[in-house]
Order: sequence, then structure tokens, then C-alpha cells
Amino acid sequence: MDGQRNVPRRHTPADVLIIGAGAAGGVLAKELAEAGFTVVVLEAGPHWVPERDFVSDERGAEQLYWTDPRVTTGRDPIELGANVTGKGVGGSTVHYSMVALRMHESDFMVGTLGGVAHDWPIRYEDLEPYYERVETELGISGPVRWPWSPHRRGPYPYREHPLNSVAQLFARGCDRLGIRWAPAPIATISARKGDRPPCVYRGFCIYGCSTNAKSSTLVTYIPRAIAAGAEIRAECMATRVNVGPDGRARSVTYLRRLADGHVVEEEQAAELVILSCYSVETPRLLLASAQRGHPDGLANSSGLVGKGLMVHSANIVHGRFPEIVYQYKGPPTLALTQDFYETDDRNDYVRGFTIEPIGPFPIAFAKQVASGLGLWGRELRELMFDYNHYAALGLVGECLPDDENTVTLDPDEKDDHGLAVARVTFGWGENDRRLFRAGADREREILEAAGAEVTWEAEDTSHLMGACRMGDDATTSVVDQWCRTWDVPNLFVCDGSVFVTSSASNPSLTIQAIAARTADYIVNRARTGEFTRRAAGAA
Amino acid sequence: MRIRLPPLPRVPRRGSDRRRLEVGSRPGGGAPGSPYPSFDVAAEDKWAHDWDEKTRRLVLQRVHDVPPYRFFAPSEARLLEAICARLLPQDDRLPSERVPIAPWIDARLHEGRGDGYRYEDMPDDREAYRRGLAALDRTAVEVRHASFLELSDEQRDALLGEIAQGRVRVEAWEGLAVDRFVRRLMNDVISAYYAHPLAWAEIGFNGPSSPRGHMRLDLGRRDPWEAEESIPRSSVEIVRRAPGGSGGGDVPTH
Repeated sequence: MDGQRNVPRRHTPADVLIIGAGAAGGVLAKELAEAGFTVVVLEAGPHWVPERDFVSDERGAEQLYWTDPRVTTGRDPIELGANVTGKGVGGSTVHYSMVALRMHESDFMVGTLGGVAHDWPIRYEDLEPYYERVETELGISGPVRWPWSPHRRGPYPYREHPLNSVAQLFARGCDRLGIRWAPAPIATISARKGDRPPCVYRGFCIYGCSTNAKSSTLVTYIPRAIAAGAEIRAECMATRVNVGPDGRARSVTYLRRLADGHVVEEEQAAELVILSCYSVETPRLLLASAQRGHPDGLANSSGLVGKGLMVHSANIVHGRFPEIVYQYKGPPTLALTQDFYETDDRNDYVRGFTIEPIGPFPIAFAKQVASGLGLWGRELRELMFDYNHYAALGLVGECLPDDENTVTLDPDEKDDHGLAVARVTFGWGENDRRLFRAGADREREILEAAGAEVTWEAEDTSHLMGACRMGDDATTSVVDQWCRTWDVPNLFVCDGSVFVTSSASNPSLTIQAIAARTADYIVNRARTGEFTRRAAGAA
Repeated sequence: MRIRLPPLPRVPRRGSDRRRLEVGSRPGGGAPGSPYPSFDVAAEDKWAHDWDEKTRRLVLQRVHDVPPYRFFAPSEARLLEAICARLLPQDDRLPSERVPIAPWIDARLHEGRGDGYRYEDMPDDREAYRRGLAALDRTAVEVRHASFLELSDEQRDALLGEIAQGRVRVEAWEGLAVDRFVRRLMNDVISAYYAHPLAWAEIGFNGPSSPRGHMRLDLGRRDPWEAEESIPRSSVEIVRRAPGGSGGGDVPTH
């Protein structure tokens, strides 16, 4: 930071200031702007135009990830970057694999059912209407019949996609073993929706969809938020939440990157501040906002900000098939099974996993060859000649929360702006290890039943959950069931960091349902006069 | 309600030149051992339908604008090139037709582009490469009594094999985590090589597939423009004798 900076530019105060334009931030911005609030969203990355910015190239997708420095450590340090983060409007929804699952009833009651974690302060029924609302808004394409919990009141808005070759092999293996499977519900439209055309099965989904068939918040919620008057302020990295003498959040200080590359400091005041920066940057911002009255960081009287970080075990098993597979075609996950989702007394672990076909592209596949098989040199190149004969299954394995798994501020390392980088500490628990070993065994069995001649495994993780969990008690959680921080009445945390347990479902749909519920709560509180709306016509 | 998307960018009518991608003396899949000897990932029909203009420009730039060394000293660059040539050998190609790897590692380090995380027990990537290359060469001297560049291909492979399996004297690596360095190096080599159209062609990968996409998704079905396997070549034996191939999971991964 240089000493030449002038007094930061101050913007006209907003009703609602949202930090992060990702899965949750997009939903909040649209719902609150349409309810009549003036809404400003700060997004650290650029505002993508898919038709202009999204190339059909595996390496070209590197621009989509959060690649600012972080330190990863612990017994089992996790990979960050491309694996679990996004930077830019849409957040990681521009490159996620689109699997749109509701969590099971049991996921909200892991404490009551097994005593291995806290219960959530909400039940499935609390989220159900919001799951429905988000599924409709995104245009989820899914099966007519859903074999597992929770019971659905109606069909998915859009027809399921056809199975690609990898999903067909998966289904064949499951059928031979008596395992139930279903077409995967995914956030990619199978028929036209408004201006967006149906999927053309290019297969580049996780590198950015250039046809807008993929229902990222970038092309769904965000345009509606803008239409309702929200301002999306891109290239703006929040550095500090400022609290006034009354104990309420007053404003957010941020660094704006100008077109010429210069960085200037600005400040945005708001009646209400919502952090939606996900499980690393949300706790980082809270901790970096330590100030008078909040010596250990904001909203941290419980000491739990940054604690209880979870990831999913995502072990991958590859199988080589006599048939040619062409694993790169279509969305990577078009079927799945949740037959191993719930606790089963016959297992030596509690909770469970989902198994999903995946279709890694050449760079990702070759990296798994190198890490899983230990191959390099001529043999690596020769195995790659056989790329089109492989099919792979990936795991979404539940990870039990552990307060030793944390996000903290690194005491030494600073980023380009002079801010302490996040330090992520992670280690598997014994239950997690047993669970993902069993999961990989199941994947192997399914591939072998489908006719794989040989199989091999690569370890992986995916998704982030937790680190600012919700709860019923200010001493054992960071936010209440509405995502409002216990300590600062007009400060909310609304993203995957509020998860109490990880579940064994891809988290995005639940993150978005929680955001829709929080938006409803804020609208209802405003009716009672607690939050004000400046905009004309507010109800 | 009608959703307003941001305005479409203006794309120039004149497209990039397909012939500029013809970088090899054979069609892309012509590598010995490739099941797709005649597959051309940028054949005329594919260039017209599978390569949108922004992807064309990106890949043409990648193929032709190979960056000069700016981070590594000349001696380091020579050593890294020799290592890359064993980690991903291209002896079957004329030297002028080989996919450049080391210059892209240099560019990444010069520009300071990282993956977005650093293992606590590793220095930053720049220092890791400087120290890793020096340690690798020290190990060559200790074990083979010659600098890496003075070894034969067989000796280089044997040494890299020992290093890849962690069978090294840790003192020579001065605290650098060998396994993480090898993983870092392999990831960078793979990211450079398999981003090149010659590599896509030899493995039968369809390339950008945009805007056309795919119509035939069923197992065993091929769109007419996809790579057609003509010399099947199974990797089953390679997997069976690979270090991590038998039981699986006994290879340390991080």
C-alpha cells in the first residue's frame, strides 16, 4: 500500500450491500432488488460476458478461478484454486458441474441421529419451498421419478438430459449390481428458457459455458437483479467491514481495480451488509475486520469464525473399457446414485456418499494418471493415447465437521494489497477415511460390473462448506438460522460457510435455497420496520 | 419477463487462418502409437464448426507465440528442457515440431501466476523451481557422478524414476519436499503439453467443439467429425505394471 492514496471515494449509501456475486450473492441481489431495496454487489473479479470471454479450452479456463495466494496446511492439506473457487460475477457457478441436489431430511439432523455433529437450526421443511423456487428460477433439468429422499412434490421444471456414454456405463454397472441410479438433476437447460438456448453437449461446462445453457447466476439471477435496479460493481475486493459506535455495520472498505490496472480504495455505506464470499474469503474478511470492540474479528464472540471447515472427499476411480467412450461429450455428470447416502449399521462409518460419473478433459485426466498411477515419461504419453477408452466415477463423500479444520489469517504472508492471506488447515477424521475408502470400493465395483478391464484410483476433494456455521445459540455458532450474525445485528453471512454439516450432496442448490430464505426474512423484517428501504414503492 | 443479457461483443467477420495451425509434417494424430494416425483436430470442416473465433485466436497464439525465457537463467532453462524431454518425451517428432513445455513454465513463473495456493511446507513456486532444479542436479552428481545434462537418456530416466518415487537423499534437497516438487513439475508439464492441438490429435480429443457441440452421446457412437480409432491400443498392461496400478491408493498423493 502506498502513502499517496487520497481520501477514499465514498458512494451514496445503499439499503443492502452484498459482498460476492456468486451462487448466494446472485440470489440475494435479485430477490432483494425486486423487493424494492437499493442493492449494491461488490465482486472481486470481472463481469464476464460468456460469448466474449469464455473460450473452449481447458487451460484458458484458468481465468475463472480464485488464484490469489493462500496457504494450505494440516494433516491433509487441500487443493484450493480451480478445485473449489471462482472469481468473477457468477462465482464458481460459471465452472461448477451443475449437479443440483437437495439435501436429505437426515442431513439437517446429524446430531440427533448419530451424535457425531451439531444439528442444523433448520429442518428440510424450512428449505423445501426455497429449493422449489430456486429450481424453477434456474430451470433444473431432472428425472420424472426421484428414488431417494427427500420426497418431491412435483417434477423438475425441465426434462432430464439424455445419458452420455459415461453415464450409460455407470447405469449398466449399477443395474448389474442392483444399485438404483437416476439421471442427474443439473442446472443446465434441456429446452429453451427465455433467451437461453438448450445445451448442445459441447462438454466444456466446467470451463465456462459459452452458449448460456448453463444456469450460472451470471446468466440467471444476476441479469434479473440488474433489471430490478441492482448495481453489480466488478473488480472490487472488499478488505474490511466497518462497524459504527452503535455496534452496527456501517460500511465496507474495498479496493477497486481500474481499467488501467491502478487500484484505488473506496467505501460503500449500507443499512445492511451481507457477506457471500464462501468458506475461505468470508471468514478471512471477518477476521481481517478486527477493530475496536471486536478484537478477534467481527461476529466472532463465539470464537468460531473460520472453524469447522469441511470438504467433500471426491476420490475418482477410472476404468478402461473395450468400447470407445469419448468421455469428453456432454455435461460431465448426467446420472448418479444415492443408495449409499444414509448411515447404515453394517458399515464401519456413519453417514455416506453419492457416486457420480465424471468426464475429465485431457489435462485433468493426465494429472490423475500422474498422481494416481505414478506414471510419467513414455508410459504416461502411451496411456494417454487410450484416453477415449476410459470412464470415471467420482465421489461426493460426507466429511464430519471438526473445529480443528480452520481458516485463519496467515501471520506472515501478505497478498499484493498487503492483506494477510488465508491459511487453510485441514485433516481427515477416521470416519471420513473409512467412508471414502468404502466409496472408492463401490466405484470400482460399479465400473467392473459395467465391464471395465482394469481400474485405478486418484484421490481428490471438492467443494467447501462451513467455517461460519449457523445455530440456535450465540456461543456455539456464528449466525442464526436466518444467516444473521449473532454479534452485529445488520451483518449477515450467507453462503456455504454457514453449513453445519457437509451432507453428501453437491452444495450449490442448498446454498442458493438458504440465500432465497434469507432474502425472504430480510423482506419480512423490513415490513416490521427493522430495515429501511429508500427506494420508491417499497411495500 | 425477458432476461436482458449484456450486449454481444463484435466479432470480426474475417476469421483466423486455419493453415497456421498446421505445425507438424504429419496430421496431428500421426505420432507413432497413436490410435488416430490421420486425425486432424483442425481439419477444414472442424475449423469451420468446432473452433469459435476467440478459441482460434487463443490456440494460434499458444502455438506460435512461444514466450522467451525471462525467469530462468540459460543454464537452468537447459536443465529444465532436458528434464521435460524425459518427463514427456517427444523423440518421435522432429525437434522443430515438438510441443514447447519449459518456456510455458518460465512464463508462468515470470508472470507470477499461481494455482491459488501454496503448501505450507513448500516455498513459493519461483523459489521451489530454483531450489528443485539445483537439488535435482546435485542428486545426479551424487548418484551418477555427473551433471544431469551429461547423463544418457537411460540414466536420466533411472534418476528421475528414483526421484519420482522419493528414493533420494533428503539432505541434497535441503528440506524441499521432493514429492510435492515432482507433483508441481508434472502438473506444469502436463498443463503445457495437453493444451496443444498436436497432443489433442494424438489422443483423439475433439478439441474446442464450439459452437457445434455433439449429437451422438451414446456409448460407442461417434459424430462424423470426431476422431476415428484405426489402430486400437490398450493401456491395460501399462496400468497393471504402474506403481499405483495394482491395489490402488498405495502411492502417496498430496
